[in-house]
Amino acid sequence: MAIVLGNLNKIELGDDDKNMVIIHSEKDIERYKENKAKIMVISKMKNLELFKGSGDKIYIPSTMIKREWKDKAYVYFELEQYAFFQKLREILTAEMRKKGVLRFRRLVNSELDQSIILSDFYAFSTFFGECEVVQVKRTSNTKGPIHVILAATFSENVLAHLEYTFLPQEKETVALEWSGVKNILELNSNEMDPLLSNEQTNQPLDYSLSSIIKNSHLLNEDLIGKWDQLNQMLFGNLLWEV
Amino acid sequence: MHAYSYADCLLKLPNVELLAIYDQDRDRGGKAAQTYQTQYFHDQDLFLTQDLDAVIICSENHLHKEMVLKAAQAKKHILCEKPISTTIEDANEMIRACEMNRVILQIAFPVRFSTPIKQLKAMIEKGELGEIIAMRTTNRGQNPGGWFIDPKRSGGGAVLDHTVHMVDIMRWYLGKEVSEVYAMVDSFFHQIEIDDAGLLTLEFENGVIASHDASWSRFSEYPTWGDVTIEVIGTKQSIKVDAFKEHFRMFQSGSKSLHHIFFGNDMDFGLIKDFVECVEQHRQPSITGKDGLKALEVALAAYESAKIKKAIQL
Repeated sequence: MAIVLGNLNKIELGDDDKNMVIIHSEKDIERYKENKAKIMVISKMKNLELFKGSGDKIYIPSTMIKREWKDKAYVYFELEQYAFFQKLREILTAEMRKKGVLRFRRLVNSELDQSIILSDFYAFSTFFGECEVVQVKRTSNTKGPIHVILAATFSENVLAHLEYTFLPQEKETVALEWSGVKNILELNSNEMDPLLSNEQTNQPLDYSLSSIIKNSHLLNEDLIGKWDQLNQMLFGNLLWEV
Repeated sequence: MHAYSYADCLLKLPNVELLAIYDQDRDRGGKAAQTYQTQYFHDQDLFLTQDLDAVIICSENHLHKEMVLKAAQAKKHILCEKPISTTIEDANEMIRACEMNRVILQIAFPVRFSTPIKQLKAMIEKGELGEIIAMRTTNRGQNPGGWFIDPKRSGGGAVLDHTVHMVDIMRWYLGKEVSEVYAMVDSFFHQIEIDDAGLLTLEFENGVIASHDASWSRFSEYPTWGDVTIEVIGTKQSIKVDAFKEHFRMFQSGSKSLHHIFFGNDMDFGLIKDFVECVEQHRQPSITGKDGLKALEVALAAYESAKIKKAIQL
């Protein structure tokens, strides 16, 4: 069985629902252990702990990376699950020599969380190549949103600004602009929602269980090493005070 | 580049007469004089002996200093194209000369006259955004070519050309100066010996942080010449302005199938009208030589930062 730890507000269940059960509590786990479902979705880390050593394939989000899960879990990066990011990777991978300017913007509907920045940065580095973090700036305000600007170069041919505004009440948004040589890509998730209704939808930022399972990475020493290295580059391993 | 647009704007004003055009290039100057039905001068000194209230300087950047100094000495009020000059020393000398000769020195930052840019300024002043904590700006366009890509005549590429406008807007919104500049500058998009791409991270003296994207990354098939955008993040709300958002999307058959047809306000006209009023009313210019100097400082610091790969404190 595949066991996925994830945010139920973001995972689009779709065609996976026949093979899947959602676990909200420890009681649910007991009830569904005999179930023939192929995928179990868990929303709390404490419930996931019960499956450690069970032999099931366990999937955890990159924001929850912990060394104790080494070689016991697969890690998924949220950015890699978005359909637009997969298409971006496809387009830019086709370019022999990626050269240009990347501007990435995320409006995050949560309190300040460094692991989101680190996670996105890791995902970008997987196809933009070697990165050299050059500067991270954040606002020092104690009330209202917190804004972070990360300036970086990748492989000496890509200049990048990754920017984050952490604001719990806002709708999550991602905007991305790639200015390449005779090649410009622009995206704003707010403008790309195919479903317009009075209900708040955010389809471009939803992702599927099958995507998580397909686009995950074994949490091995290499991944942990790179994660730690980028964390050191970005934050010097320090936790920011909110 | 803006000379023709400014001349067109002057002709729209009933109380203005376009009396003369000076240009080192005889052919270009002669044709322009014909178009605007005015006199052409090849001699700058002779041009300045004419009975002119004011001059608009739209020369190559490296000539701004000499032209401003001569015009100031001839007691002509001046609207000088941005960037004010190519060095801080030149800019200071120009400002001093205009003060000494008691003539107006206004810098041409037309973006201040964009209606949505002004609307955002009004919202900030009313406190509708709360305390500003960060800003994000872009100014990306096409490679203008010509003297713009000659470092000796322009003094810098896309970073100089497309940083000063938005630094001016950010300073105007905040009423504060930039205290730190970090930049990455490169040449990606064209086979030219000057920068065409730059990302700047700024910090203002009150702690506000900002990012800016300056480039000549837009190619001729792109639907529009480029952009001017700003997002202001406040403690109460964030607002984004796209100065050229008001447009039709016009699709046509051909290699450039999509055109953006802008129908918003003419910011050049706003700039020229303001300058003329300033001369008429003998008031302080809305955009001073100091404004031009402070914007130039940031652009030049960006080059220095990229060179030494460190932040520059101003």
